[in-house]
This record gives sequence, C-alpha cells and structure tokens, in this order.
Amino acid sequence: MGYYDIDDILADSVEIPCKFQHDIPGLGYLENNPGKPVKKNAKLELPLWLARILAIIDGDTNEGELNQDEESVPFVELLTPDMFSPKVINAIKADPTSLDLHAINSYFYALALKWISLFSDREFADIVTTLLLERSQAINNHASSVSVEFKSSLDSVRGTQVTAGASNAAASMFLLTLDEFEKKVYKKSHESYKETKKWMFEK
Amino acid sequence: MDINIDDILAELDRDTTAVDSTGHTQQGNQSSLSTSDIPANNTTIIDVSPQQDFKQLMVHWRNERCSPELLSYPAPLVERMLSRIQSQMETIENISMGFLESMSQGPSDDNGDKLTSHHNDSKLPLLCMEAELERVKFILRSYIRCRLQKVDKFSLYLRQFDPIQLDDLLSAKEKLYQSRHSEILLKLLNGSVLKFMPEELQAIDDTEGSVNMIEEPDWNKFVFIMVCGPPDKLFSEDPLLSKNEYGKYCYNVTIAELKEDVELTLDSIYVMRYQVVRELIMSGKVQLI
Repeated sequence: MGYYDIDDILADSVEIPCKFQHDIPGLGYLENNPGKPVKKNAKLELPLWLARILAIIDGDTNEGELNQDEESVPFVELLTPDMFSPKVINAIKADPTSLDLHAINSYFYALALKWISLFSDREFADIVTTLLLERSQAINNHASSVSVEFKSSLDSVRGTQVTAGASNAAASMFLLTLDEFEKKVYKKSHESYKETKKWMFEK
Repeated sequence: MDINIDDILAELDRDTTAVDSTGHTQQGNQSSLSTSDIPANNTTIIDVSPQQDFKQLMVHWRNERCSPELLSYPAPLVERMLSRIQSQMETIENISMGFLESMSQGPSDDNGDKLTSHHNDSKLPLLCMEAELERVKFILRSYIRCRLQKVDKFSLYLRQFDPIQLDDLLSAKEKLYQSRHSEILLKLLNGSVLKFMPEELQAIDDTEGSVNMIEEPDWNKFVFIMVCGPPDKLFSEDPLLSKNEYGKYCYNVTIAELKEDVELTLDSIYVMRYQVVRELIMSGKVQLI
C-alpha cells in the first residue's frame, strides 16, 4: 500500500457511516448544508481517509477542561458498514466462491485490511483469510484454463476473434464477481499461464 | 576388514585434477567465447575465471530480479565483464578483418586464434562468438535496467542513506541517475502542484502524515528460494549449518512474527518471506529463483 498506489487511493475514498460524538460548528458542509454546525449523534457517510483520522483523534480541543469524562472520546464513532455486516459475513462463511464480492464492494480486501488494522479484529481476519484462500483456488482454476486457439494464429486476425469469443459463460460469470484485487491476481496469473503455453507450443 | 582409503585416494587425485583443471581452464580461455581477453594477455591463470564470473553475474541477475529491495552493486564483477565485452568485440572485429584479408591476400600476423580459423576457414566460431557476446550483453543490460527500475521506485527511500552506504549500494552512474532523476521529478512536482500547497504540506517525503510518503521495499514479500549452501562447498566449516534428524544439512531460521522456526535443508526449494532469508541471500548461501 504505497503512497502513490492508485487502487489504495480509490479504496480510501469509499464512504463509511459515522456518528459524530460532539457538536462541531462550521463543519456543516459534510452534511451538505454549509454554515451550520454538525450536531451530536448526527449520522454521516465519510470517506475512509477522513473517518479513519477522526475516529482516532480526541475531540477535546477547547472544552477538554470542562468535561473531563469526555476527554478520550474521539470526534466520530465508526459504525459497521454494510459490507462488513453480519449478513455478508454469514454469506462468506456459507460459500466463498459463489459470493459476488464486486457487488458488495469493489475494494473489499483493501478495505477489510484497513478495517482489521483499525480494530485488530482477529475473528474477522480469519474469515477474510479463508475467503481469500477459497476464492484463490477458483481464480487459479479459471486462470489456468487457457483456450487452445492460437495454434491457428497464422492468420492472426481470425485468431484474435476466436479467442475473444472463447471465454465461456461460466468463467465470465465468475469473473464479474471478482473484486479489484482479485482481478489483478487473475490477470497476472492468466497472463503467465498463457505466455507459458504460448512458449511451449509455438515457436 | 575394510580399510577406508578414500582420503588417501582423494589426496592422490588432487594432484592429477590440479593439472587437469589448469589445462582445462587454459583450453577454456582459448575456445570459450564469453571469455574475452583471448590468449595474448591471459596466459597466467588467475583465480577469477570468465566462466566463474559469468555464473556470478547470472546469480546476481536472478537475485536482483526477484528480490524486493535493491541489492548491493558488484562493482568489480561488472567492470571485469565490461572490459571483457570490450576486448571480445575487438577480437571479433580483428578476426572478421582477417577473413576479408584472407580472401584478397595471403595470411597476416595477428594472433593465434586467427591462424586456426585460417586453416579451415569456417565461419562457425565467429558466429558463436557473436551470439555469445550478445547473450552476455543481454544479461548485463537486463540486470542494469532492473536496478534502474528499483532506483526509480525507491528514489525517496534511497535519499535517506548516507553517502557511504550509498557507495556500496549503487554504482557511480546509478548515483548520478538517482540524483538527477529525483531532481527532475521534484522540479516537475514543485512547479505543477506543490507550490499551491500550504507550507507544511509541501514536503515530498513526509512521514508524519496519515500515509507514509516514502515507499520502502516490501520486506515481507514472499520469494522462491533455493538453498545452495556455502559457496565454497565446505559444509562443515559453516557455523550456521547444522544437521537435522535425517542427517541432512540445514539452516535454521526464525519467522519473527509467527515465532516459528524453519529448517531450510540443503538443495531444496522454499517459498519464504524475504526478511527471513535476507542474511543468507547476502552471503550467497541461498539463491532466489
């Protein structure tokens, strides 16, 4: 997760439901009504890059001396987003391979990683690990099934047409459920299988 | 009653093999093609042979391509290879000129290698020499490109090192490339974006913010390794090497975060975290594949 990693930046902009734990004047533009304060217990959707910081930093800037008991309460509380709800977790436990991760969130793994490191959630980490392992077997199956069309690639134009139509329906259905990280894995492994086969059977 | 005389035989063998191997290397120098400084100046046998150097270069190349970090630069090795490429190129040129001459005139006086090619006038040795030269050049080029790619990637990270460490890590040209390239990049970023930022956000190598801007090598990257053992093959003298329950030599390494000990047996292949085997790679006891 580098600083200039474009997928990381995109994953960081996914919005997370948050609950404000302080009245804060001037921040109304987060609720789309600038000029007004944000009320306590207001529920907002904040992008992760903002929510992550606000959930850590304490909200006692000025009134810290007034109410000591509120001292350690951060600005916002992170609420569990839909993609990590019990419903999804049960679905993961039931059958990882038939799950449509892309529909849940296209950056599921990146977000799960961030979420786990925020809360040190061991149980969820185990679930995500099994999810990844199970799905990577399916990914490998799909990546290794290289269609054998390029024997007739003397006429390259026809060859590309054939390969384009070759990926069968079952594979493409699965590929639509991959999240961005899995897509990268699939693409890379598929390329390497394909190149190896090309090298073996073509000159 | 069996008397084991293996060591006595080995002692006897050593003399003959010594002669044998010198003869072989000399011959190798004349016929083998990566070898460059052909007969004229290479009559004395030095401890670094061209074959050995090429093998070394291949190891460096493979390690560099697979490792997540920039490895230290084998300056003497690359210099030797470069000078050999240079002289081999000259040799090839000389020989091919000899071919031209032999067609028009009688034999000339250059070096012994040419004379042999005069006798049967075959083009095969020349062909092989050229192909071999291309091969060596490809490896060297690929190696250096791979390093430059890493220099690009870890530009900011490399800036933290002090000059002495950098001397070991980079060649003079790579250092020049690194400083110039980061200068140009900085100029571009400063001119286009950073000058509009508030003072405290203008730093390009800010580590205090929410995301660390300096990209470090991924120390925990998984790599394929082949356990080769000490380069000199003297297994009993390596302090890290020990025997396991099956009587095989192995290295013991510890994966810190799992608190797990792993035996790396000799001549086997593992997928291992880079950080764990880094020391072994540096000392050439393990190779990346």
